[in-house]
Amino acid sequence: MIQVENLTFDYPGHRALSDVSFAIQPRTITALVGPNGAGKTTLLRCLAALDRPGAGRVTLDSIDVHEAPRAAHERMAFLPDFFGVYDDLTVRQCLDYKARAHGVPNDRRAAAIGSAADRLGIADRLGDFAGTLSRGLKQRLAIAQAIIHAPQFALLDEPAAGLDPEARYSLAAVFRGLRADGMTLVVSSHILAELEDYSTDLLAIRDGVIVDHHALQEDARVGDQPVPLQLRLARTDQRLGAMLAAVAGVVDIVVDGAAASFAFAGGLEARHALLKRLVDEGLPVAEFAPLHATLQDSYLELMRKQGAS
Amino acid sequence: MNPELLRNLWLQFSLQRVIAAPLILGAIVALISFGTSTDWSSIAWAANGGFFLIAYLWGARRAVNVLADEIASGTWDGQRMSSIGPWTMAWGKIFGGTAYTWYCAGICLVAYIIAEIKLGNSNELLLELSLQMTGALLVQAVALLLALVMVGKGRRLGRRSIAFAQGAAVLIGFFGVSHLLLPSIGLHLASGLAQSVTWFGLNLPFEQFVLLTQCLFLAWVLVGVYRLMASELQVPQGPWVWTLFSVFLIAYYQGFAVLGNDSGPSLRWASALVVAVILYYVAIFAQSHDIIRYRWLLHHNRRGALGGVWTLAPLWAPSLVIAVIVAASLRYSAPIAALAEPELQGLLSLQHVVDPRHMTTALILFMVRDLGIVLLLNFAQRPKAPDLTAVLYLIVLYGVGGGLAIVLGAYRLLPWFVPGAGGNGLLVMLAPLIEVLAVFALLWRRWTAQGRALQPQPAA
Repeated sequence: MIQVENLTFDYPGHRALSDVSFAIQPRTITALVGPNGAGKTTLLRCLAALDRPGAGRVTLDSIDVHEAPRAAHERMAFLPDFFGVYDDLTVRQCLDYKARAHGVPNDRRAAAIGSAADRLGIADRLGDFAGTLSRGLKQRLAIAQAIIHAPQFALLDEPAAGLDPEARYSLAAVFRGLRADGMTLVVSSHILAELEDYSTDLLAIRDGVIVDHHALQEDARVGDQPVPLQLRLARTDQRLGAMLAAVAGVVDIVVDGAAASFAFAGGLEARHALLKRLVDEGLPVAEFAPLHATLQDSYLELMRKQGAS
Repeated sequence: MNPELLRNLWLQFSLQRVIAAPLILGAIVALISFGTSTDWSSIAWAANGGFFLIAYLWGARRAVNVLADEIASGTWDGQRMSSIGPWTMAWGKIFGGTAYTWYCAGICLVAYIIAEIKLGNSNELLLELSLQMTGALLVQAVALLLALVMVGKGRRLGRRSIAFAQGAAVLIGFFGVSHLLLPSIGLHLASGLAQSVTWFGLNLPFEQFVLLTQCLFLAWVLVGVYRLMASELQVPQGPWVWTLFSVFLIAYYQGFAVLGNDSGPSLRWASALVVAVILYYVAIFAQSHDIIRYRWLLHHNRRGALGGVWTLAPLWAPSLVIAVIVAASLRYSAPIAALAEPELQGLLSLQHVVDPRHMTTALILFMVRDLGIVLLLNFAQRPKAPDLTAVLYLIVLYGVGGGLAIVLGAYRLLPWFVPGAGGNGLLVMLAPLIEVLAVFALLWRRWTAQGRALQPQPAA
């Protein structure tokens, strides 16, 4: 787990981060969002121990990243927004160098190179010079370089910038795969629709202050928090509102003709029981699903509220 | 193997480059050989010149570029994120970045050795080769050191910065340590015959002493590169190495025979003060002075976090302490007669120099004033070339102001521009004191204006 406590960072005449505190749970993908100049890149650079804050602490599994940056770097990866690769080295040499630079033992280096190349889909390009790769492939190489030492934690600043839709789609699959393998990711991006594809958590920052931090996806929710659900009938049925209200755990019911939205505190089994009960009682249920506000909707609403306050 | 060294070898030693170097350099030697009917002295001269061009000039440029290229291509952050330690990174860059230049320079050295042996000059060959190689290594290390200093000051290492680092390294490394840093060179050049240097009573052959000096300074420069690299890699640093270097440099100059074994202590303290003052100004201009650093320094100080204070302490602080100690020693502990000697007073118009004891106090006050000017310019909300501007202001204050006062015969104004000059003991100390107070009042105003919005939050 990465823990940030009271992080403060100043530029001359400007406070970039102001008393920032939060924790990032393992095996999550956190979308770091905020307007330009909000402090996203500064925050990522502080987390990566590339810039030293004036006050506060960042700990990665009890390692203070600013007290022991080299130890922290063994466990983390960072891909800056303006990344570079060594154009005059082959892809294999680039990966080999990074593996050595991260202290991957000799007997595990070849396997690490193969694994990173496979994971990023560049195994067939190992003999090519990095300078000959397309922008999307360079991005993949840069990520492969960053994760060659199998870090627990990866920070990616605008990783999809400049990529075409197909490359973005495959990048999202890569991030999901990394998470499935146990990695924790923080991804900063302006492309909210893309973040929605793979993020489990939202961390919103504005004017150097964290304005929101919550879980996005259902599987990342903890405990019995109510989940917003939507239900649509094949035809209008006047009993709908009353039948929902009669179920324990159903709150915030809004009925609109043949459709209804409500919040329901309960796991998948409880949800199954709810659906079965509604069908058994003769309601013509056509759709029953979690109600997602898009990340973009949430973000814009949040920024609107912040702006108003 | 050092990953940084290996990467540089991969980048520089393509098959084509490995083959091309001996072919091209061999062709040049062959041309000179045939053109001079195998005149070995011409071949030795050309090989020596080739070594200088390749190892000193090209090598210095490569040493700067090994860092500049990383920054320009966006790979520097990736390196900073690696597990490579500061020392491994430092020597990997120095030796890796210049590996190909050493390959080419080595070919020149082989030609030089053969020519010198043919000429029957093999006796001094080992010493000469050692001098050349440590000299070139020193220039390259200084170039990387200057590049790291500029990166630490937030420079982007563009073309002008690269040319500056290269040129300064060649000047400092080649002319500096080999010649200008040795006071005895005056004797050496004047007589044209001086073959030895007396240092702390030891009489050493001139070339051996140069080699010793180059090795000593090379060691210090490598330590400096290590420290700056550690800083770049976010390893906390205090200014203790700079303090030790300052003490070393003062001691180094104390050893010269030019002062004479029977020199009075005041002259020894005076020479120590000159070195301390130069180091103080080097310290001021070698480091970044953004206001945030000083704000946090005071913040840690208020909290009694001495570790944080030491980590953020600027290099000028120990330099100022050393200068004050040396100046006080000169002022109170030693007879000042030597300072009143005509040679020293001849630097200024005799009748306008006050008791040199006041001069030391005035000098320290001027040093503090100059620091205030540098900080004042650096603490601006959007500082634009603050160090260059400060240098310009100081030139105007010392050179133009002092010069005008002398030219116009306004000697009473001299204490405002030149430490210790003017004739009135009280004014000599009062004038710079007033300047210090004025500059620091402005500095305080700027500090508070910027600080209102940036009061540090207490750490958890």
